[in-house]
Amino acid sequence: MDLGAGLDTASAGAPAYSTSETSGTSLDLGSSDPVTPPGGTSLSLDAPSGAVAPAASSSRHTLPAKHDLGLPTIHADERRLMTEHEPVVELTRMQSAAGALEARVAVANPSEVVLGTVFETADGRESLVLPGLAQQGPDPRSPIFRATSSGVAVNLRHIRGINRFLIFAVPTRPTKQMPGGTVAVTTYGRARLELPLVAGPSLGAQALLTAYVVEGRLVLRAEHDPYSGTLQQVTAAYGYRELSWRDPYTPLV
Amino acid sequence: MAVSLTKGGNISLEKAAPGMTNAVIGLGWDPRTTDGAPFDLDASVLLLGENGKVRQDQDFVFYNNLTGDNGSVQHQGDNRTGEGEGDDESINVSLTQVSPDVARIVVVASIDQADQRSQNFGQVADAYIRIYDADDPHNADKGVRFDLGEDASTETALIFGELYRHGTEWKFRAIGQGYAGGLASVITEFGLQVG
Amino acid sequence: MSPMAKGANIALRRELPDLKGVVVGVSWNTGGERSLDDNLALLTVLVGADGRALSPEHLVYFNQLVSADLSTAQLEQALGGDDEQVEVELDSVPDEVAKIVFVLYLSEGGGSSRTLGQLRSLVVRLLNLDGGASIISTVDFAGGLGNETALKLVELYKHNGDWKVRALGLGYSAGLAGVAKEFGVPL
Repeated sequence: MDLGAGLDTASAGAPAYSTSETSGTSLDLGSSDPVTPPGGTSLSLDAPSGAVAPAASSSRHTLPAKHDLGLPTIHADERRLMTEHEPVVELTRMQSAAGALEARVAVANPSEVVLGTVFETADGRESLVLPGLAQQGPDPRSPIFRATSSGVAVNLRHIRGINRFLIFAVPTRPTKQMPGGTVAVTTYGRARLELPLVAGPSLGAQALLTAYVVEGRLVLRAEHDPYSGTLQQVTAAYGYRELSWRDPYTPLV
Repeated sequence: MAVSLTKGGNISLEKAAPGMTNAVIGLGWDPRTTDGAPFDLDASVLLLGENGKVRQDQDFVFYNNLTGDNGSVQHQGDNRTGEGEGDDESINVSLTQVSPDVARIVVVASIDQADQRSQNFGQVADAYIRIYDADDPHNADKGVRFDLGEDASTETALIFGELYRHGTEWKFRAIGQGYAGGLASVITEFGLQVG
Repeated sequence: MSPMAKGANIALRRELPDLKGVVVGVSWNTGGERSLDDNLALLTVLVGADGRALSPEHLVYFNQLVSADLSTAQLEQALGGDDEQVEVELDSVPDEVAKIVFVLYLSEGGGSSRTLGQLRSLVVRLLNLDGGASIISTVDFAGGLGNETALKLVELYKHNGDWKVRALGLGYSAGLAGVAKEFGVPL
């Protein structure tokens, strides 16, 4: 189990431009002293869960480390509003591997906003998908992430090729005004997480959902970030610093 | 524990159900869980004279001819899917009522349209045919049973066995002969024409 | 030995009384169709007497390579020409397991709809876990496939104290959801 890549980069998750209000709201898996995010959820990777390997020690097979994350879970067909009070959901290994995780935006005028995803692959490379810029990544011939005008999708058949990702919204009007609405994130089993998209002025991009792969399970967190920024600022604030930029709104892809 | 019959085996029911006068032939299977045409298994019997042939067409008791030999043989009706608990199809034979010129009763399991649907017994979950004493149904497990999916796996029809006269009594001889040509390939052996 | 037809079964220890374990190897040919290659997945289900998966930890697939009881494990990288391989230590399989079903499915997260009917070939073979000698292989399942997106390939099952293997080749057009429904796997 290689938690290293995901954890180290995750520790950079506190937005650089943020005030103390927002620091610590990201999943800080790297800290040796796990933070307790709002809502009382706690990620402790120190102690293995009660599950002990069976006595069949003569087996040539071994189980990987398995830690009980103790986070809220969601079942098939369940619908959950991701509140500031309870912003985190842990998917099962099967939920983290079945079909696609899809994020779709529901607003009055869908042409006013698009969704994009910045991600880090298991081999430590960062890249980004955004409609009109790069529709598929990291390899367009075998994409894991796809972005269309209606939303983004993560092909979970390749969950093992992912360390982490961030789904963000970009308003399309020249005024950069963000429309109000909802972003719905659904699993293959139609579990549905709903995140508010808050209307108001923006600096160009708004972080919505962070995702980390922890021992084969996706841990999803609604960010409820009070700050927007340029796309470059937002991705950097969540620890994606390996991208190159044409301008603060446009990465080189 | 049922006497389990393997292919070509020959087991007498006599020990399990001595002096049986009413026999039940039960056929059971699980409904198909995968896509495609349902598994439609059928139980049937052929009433044979001394010459080893049916006396008349009505001696073939199956889903389209539920009553034979003036009611001594009664098929309880066709099940097309295997839906339901226990035996999905059964045939009751009142052995004491069977006409004197019926020497043997051959018991057959088959799959309807197996060829067109590319099906065989091995694809059907928990398919069996059994015979037991109707007057001792709680001990149905003591009868003779054939697991169709194990020992006739690539076949589409099977002669399970035959009831035959032994003096004044009836006995059951297990046969377990499989056929890949469905019910038609079996019944033509006994003087019936398929058309 | 001639290939196993759909529905056919063999008793493993009739010929190999000392057999300790098997490798189930699955190989397919997509004809280079990348969206097939990228989204095919093997799922192994340890099934109880009630026909349901024993638990979510008794599934073996790319995101969970070993069953909780350690008996069954999918190799990270298959060897010797197979696309996927699963090792089963027969004596380590818990008593509650009535059968182990091997399913190939087409994961639906790739954004394009494909079916297993597009496969050029699909064959399963069994090898002796000790030494890797070939035991048996199935007929090519690809021939009879149409709009299936998941296919039960073979099952290992206990019968009269022996382990048997049965070739199945029966599928669903509902993909992983169809498999999950049959075996009670929470999604």
